[in-house]
Amino acid sequence: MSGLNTLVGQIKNPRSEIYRRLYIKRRRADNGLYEDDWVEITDDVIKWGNIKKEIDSVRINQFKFSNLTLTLDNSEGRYNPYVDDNSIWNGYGDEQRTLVKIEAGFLYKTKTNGVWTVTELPSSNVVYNGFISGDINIKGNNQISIPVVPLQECFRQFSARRLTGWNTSLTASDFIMMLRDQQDTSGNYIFRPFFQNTTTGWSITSTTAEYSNLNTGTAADVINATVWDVVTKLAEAENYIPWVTNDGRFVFGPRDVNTTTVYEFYGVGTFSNYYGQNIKKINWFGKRYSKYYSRVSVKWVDADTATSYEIEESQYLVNSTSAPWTLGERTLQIDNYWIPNASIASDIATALFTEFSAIKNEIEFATPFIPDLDIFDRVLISYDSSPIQGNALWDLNNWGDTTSGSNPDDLFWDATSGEAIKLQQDEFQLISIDMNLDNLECKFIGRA
Amino acid sequence: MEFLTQTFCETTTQLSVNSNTLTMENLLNPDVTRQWVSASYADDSLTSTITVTFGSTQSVDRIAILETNAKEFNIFYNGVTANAFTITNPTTTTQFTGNTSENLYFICSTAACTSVTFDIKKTMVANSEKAVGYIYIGANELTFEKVPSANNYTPLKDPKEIIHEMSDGGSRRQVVASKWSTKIKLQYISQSFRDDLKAVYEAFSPRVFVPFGTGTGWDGILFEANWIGNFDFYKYSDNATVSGFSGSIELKQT
Repeated sequence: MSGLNTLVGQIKNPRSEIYRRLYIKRRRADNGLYEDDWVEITDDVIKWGNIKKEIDSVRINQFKFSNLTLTLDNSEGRYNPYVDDNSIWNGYGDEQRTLVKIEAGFLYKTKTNGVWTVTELPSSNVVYNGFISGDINIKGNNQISIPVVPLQECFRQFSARRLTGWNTSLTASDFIMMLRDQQDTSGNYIFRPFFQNTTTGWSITSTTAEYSNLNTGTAADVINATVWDVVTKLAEAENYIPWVTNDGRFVFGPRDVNTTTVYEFYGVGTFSNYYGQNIKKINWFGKRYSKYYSRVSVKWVDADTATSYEIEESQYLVNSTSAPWTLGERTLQIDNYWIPNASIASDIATALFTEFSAIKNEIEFATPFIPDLDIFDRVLISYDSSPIQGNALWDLNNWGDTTSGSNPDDLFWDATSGEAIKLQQDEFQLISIDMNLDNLECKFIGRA
Repeated sequence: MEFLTQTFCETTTQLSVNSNTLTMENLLNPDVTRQWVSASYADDSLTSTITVTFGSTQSVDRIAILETNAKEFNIFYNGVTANAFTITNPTTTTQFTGNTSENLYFICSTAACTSVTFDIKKTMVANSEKAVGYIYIGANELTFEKVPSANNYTPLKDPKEIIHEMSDGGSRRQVVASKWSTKIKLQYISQSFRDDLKAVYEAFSPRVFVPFGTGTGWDGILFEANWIGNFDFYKYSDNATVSGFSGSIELKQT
């Protein structure tokens, strides 16, 4: 039994209280630096919009954090351009690139001796970090739409050629550290303020391969690229993923292989006294053929010769267990000429083959508001759909079968168990989280 | 049943407390479960003080304290302990030694105040930290000349909530906030009261609504309200113009 003073208990509770908070951090007019404290503007929010993050949706191993559009009440002109006296930005820098943070969670309230104690669950309550970027539309109905982009967008808004610190023995992790420590000529950090403004906001897994092609800002692979282009190319070359955590840390590391289960979901036909019912509906479930690849080809040298490729593939046999025969042959092609040698190219091919050579189940399901879950978290799902047409009430026994072990006079009632979807604590890894803060609904996609 | 001014206590810069300034802003938060709670004053021999200082002199005749555990306390103005407010119910001045009500509403004789101070000495459960959920300090703007009938007064606690239907047919109720709303119908009101109501309706700043403010057994209903919808008190209540006017009021908490 989960207590109400726990997050699981609050999610399970039939009646719970939710909070959502919106904060901004403006840049000072005098020196352009971000102000020290967050400013809460929750009371002006009309619409929160959707927060979505996913992996593998656009391209294998590519992390995608959605944009967000906030709708605010602008009756008093608080969100007008900063030159307006009424504007919350008046006396500060431009509205663009204002930092945005959203917190959300449950409130657990108790009263003792006339004193209320309000506990916020979970303790780490940030669900989105980003900054304002884009067209800000003031509407005729006294509302304003604020476009917010995820934090990694700051890398797209900076040309790689402007960076300083290039050298002939740069590794991928060196490059990320170079970003972390990048300063302007006055010693102000350029990227660090977006990621908690501290070195601990950067989680960098060390790499050893050196990229001699990144030796200068005018190098061919750099001169027309954004910083994000370089980051994603390096990540692919290392089989790493660059992504941003809920609390706004930048992570550059391998695809997380969380081995422990952090949460369990239960739907119709299943029961947990600890988690309770927490699935609203399953939108779809099935084998994800589009993510099945029997062959992974990594081209790491531009020249079109056999040695430019490292290939990992299933053997093609005409039998019942050969994937290419039973499912067809599908190739995942990776072209990345930054990969420094054949050994690393082979490692990448092997890692991708291991993940995608078997066809796996994926599931999309909707739940009430459940914070504190992140991409790559492992969860267990139980769901046992009832038969749509329960006409065979005694279909467990063949009445005419004299060999039946049961007494022919016994009635057997059909257990209302899964005839369409039957999951019994099946393990999935979350690869997409879509949180609607207006409807307080979450949609998850899990991959087995 | 009355409309009051917006509270004179509007910003944290007006507030001072002698402990736990971190939660001081909760005194302005209508969510009474978010309290100001003293720190290291869980001792009935220690006095916790809350002072509200106004930018200019204010005429105060209404004070409300919500969600408090104060048993013995004094309320006085302009920094002089002897300047207690004169009230009629439940006692004659705002000096209490045995309060048992969590919500208190005082109708005071008008006092010209530059500041109002709350000295909380003892708590209902002895030696607890002192706690206050919300403070209102303001003035009466309009007292209803008549109270509507029970059928014509509908107070509602109106939650903003999402009801989730679960896969097994069960439900989850996730509440974001719960606000007051009220519908009032009045009949046979005088022209002068109608005009007073119109002034409230047309005011650009919201008013505070207190349906039944009383010194004892107060239900704690006090909220800053928007009068939404139309103003329909130009309708006559009967065939004779002397019969007065009828109309309805719909208020929603801000």
